[in-house]
Amino acid sequence: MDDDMHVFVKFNSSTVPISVNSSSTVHDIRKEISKTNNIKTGEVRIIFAGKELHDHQKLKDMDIQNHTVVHAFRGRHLEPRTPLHLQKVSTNASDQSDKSSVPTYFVLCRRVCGAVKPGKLRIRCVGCREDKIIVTKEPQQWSDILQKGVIQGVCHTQGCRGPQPEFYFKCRGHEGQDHDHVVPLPLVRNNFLKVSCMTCLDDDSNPILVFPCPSNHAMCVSCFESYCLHQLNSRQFVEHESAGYTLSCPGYDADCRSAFVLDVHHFGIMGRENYERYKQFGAEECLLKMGGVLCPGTNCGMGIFLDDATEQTNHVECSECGLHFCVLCKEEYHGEETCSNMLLQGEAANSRLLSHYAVNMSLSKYDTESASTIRKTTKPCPQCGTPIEKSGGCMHMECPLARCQFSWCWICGTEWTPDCQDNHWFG
Amino acid sequence: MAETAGVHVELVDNSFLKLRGEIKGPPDTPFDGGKYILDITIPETYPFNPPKVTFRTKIWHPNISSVTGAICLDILKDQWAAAMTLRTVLLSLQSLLSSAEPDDPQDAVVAKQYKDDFTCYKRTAKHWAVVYAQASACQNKEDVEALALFDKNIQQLMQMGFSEQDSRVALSSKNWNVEAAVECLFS
Repeated sequence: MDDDMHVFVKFNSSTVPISVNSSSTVHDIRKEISKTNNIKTGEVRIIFAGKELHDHQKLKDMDIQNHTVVHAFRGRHLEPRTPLHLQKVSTNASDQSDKSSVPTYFVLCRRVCGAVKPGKLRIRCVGCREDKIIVTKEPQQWSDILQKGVIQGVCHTQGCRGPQPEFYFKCRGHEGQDHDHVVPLPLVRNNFLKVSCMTCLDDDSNPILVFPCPSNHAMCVSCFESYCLHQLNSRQFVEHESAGYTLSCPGYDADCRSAFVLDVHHFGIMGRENYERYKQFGAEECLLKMGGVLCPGTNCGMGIFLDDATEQTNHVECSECGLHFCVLCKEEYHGEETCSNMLLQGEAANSRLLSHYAVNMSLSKYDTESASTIRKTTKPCPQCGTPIEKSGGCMHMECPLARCQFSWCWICGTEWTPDCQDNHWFG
Repeated sequence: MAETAGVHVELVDNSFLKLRGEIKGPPDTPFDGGKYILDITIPETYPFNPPKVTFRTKIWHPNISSVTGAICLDILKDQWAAAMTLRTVLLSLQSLLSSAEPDDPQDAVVAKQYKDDFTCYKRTAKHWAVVYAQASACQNKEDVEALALFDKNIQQLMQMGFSEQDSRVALSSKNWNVEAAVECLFS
């Protein structure tokens, strides 16, 4: 901590800087406020991060640094009978170390740092959005912080008496007030125990993301980013009833596959552009699952729910780009003639599962060439028509599309049977 | 990797994308004492996709193709998990050699023999293990005699002008019946 620094004190709706140094205590701030405002020291109360501060506390122990804002207001200040530092019972040796250098929370700083950073927990009043609130007890676990109403408090802004406190986070990576773009990442933690990353096996990564599976499998942040990107690019995220479009622990214990990331803000680790793709994909998969279709028009991708008339004719007109297309083959509408799309044969001809995701021309300049390569190298899933490439192994295929997973034979192009197994398991 | 477990990998070049694995045939199996070389290809998306593994050493086993060395093992397909390692894969393959799963076969011919004539399967597997993987010879007198007969059968077909490998495959597939094997080779 610099010897020469300023703490901003908000008092009576004005903010004044107060010079402090590394050994300053809360008492120094109270004395300064009482002097400049001509009131008794005993009538100044200081609030920081949901707690009232007391005279003997050192600023550096309270995580008050250069340019930190604290709130002061007029009221009778009562020192606790037992000095606070004696109330705190240290339970293990590591507690003796400098607390302020060990971050407890990690956040995704989306706008300024664009990265996972240590965070600072702050508390403000829901009513006046000022930090001048004292909580009745400190949060003990993530649910105390993330669920509103668990922790109660009293707001000291004049005329507010706000109903309840709300927790928010600041990023330690930069100074300033941009906390609207800072989100907490409850699964990201300090790697005190030197747990190795489950994928790169590095035991020196800090922080580390811990999946909610019974084995507490952990992954370093950069491997988590690769994992998410890989699963996103192959549309392997799955729909979870409360969390939405998400992923589970990639471990191989029985419970890992049902241990889902429940707070989807963690996927922001992929970066802003990929997070937008993630949201887009999630919306598309949800719409498809609910029986809707995506307009196949170039640069369109409008989500459309089908009406009764469409059920009869298979004809849809996109309200966004005006394209007339066929619900079955996702090609331009072809009247009563049968679909010519070769992806649709057998059972798939009568299903509407073929998902034609919108083509963004700015990203895919060689769309026609891609389409012809896909036609040459893939076979359609007999159930949903999704083009599938076989890269080795046996003839038993399973559709990789999360909402299809049809088990089929590469040779017959129909459902996998024991006959396929006996006759042409490997060609 | 631990030598005691009987599994081992080494680099083929400096790319880390192509590796060569080696597993020892587990005891109490026809593969006992054999040395099996595996070709391992690491995809760019590893470890989120499984490595591609095939047997370079020829082997007679229901879950491994006697022709291509392709392997049918769930963890190399949909049951792969990013937390798995090459060590996990090699140990699983070793365990596959100990306990075949003939109902989920890669090689239908071997699987049928495994289910219909287990003794013949064991002897055929032993024959392949001795020829290709330098496995230890059998102890049991009956087995020794049976394997000597296998060698004689192969010699017989080779004298008719077939290659050693073709003769071995045909005989193995036809439970070492010479006539059936010849028919198979001519068809």
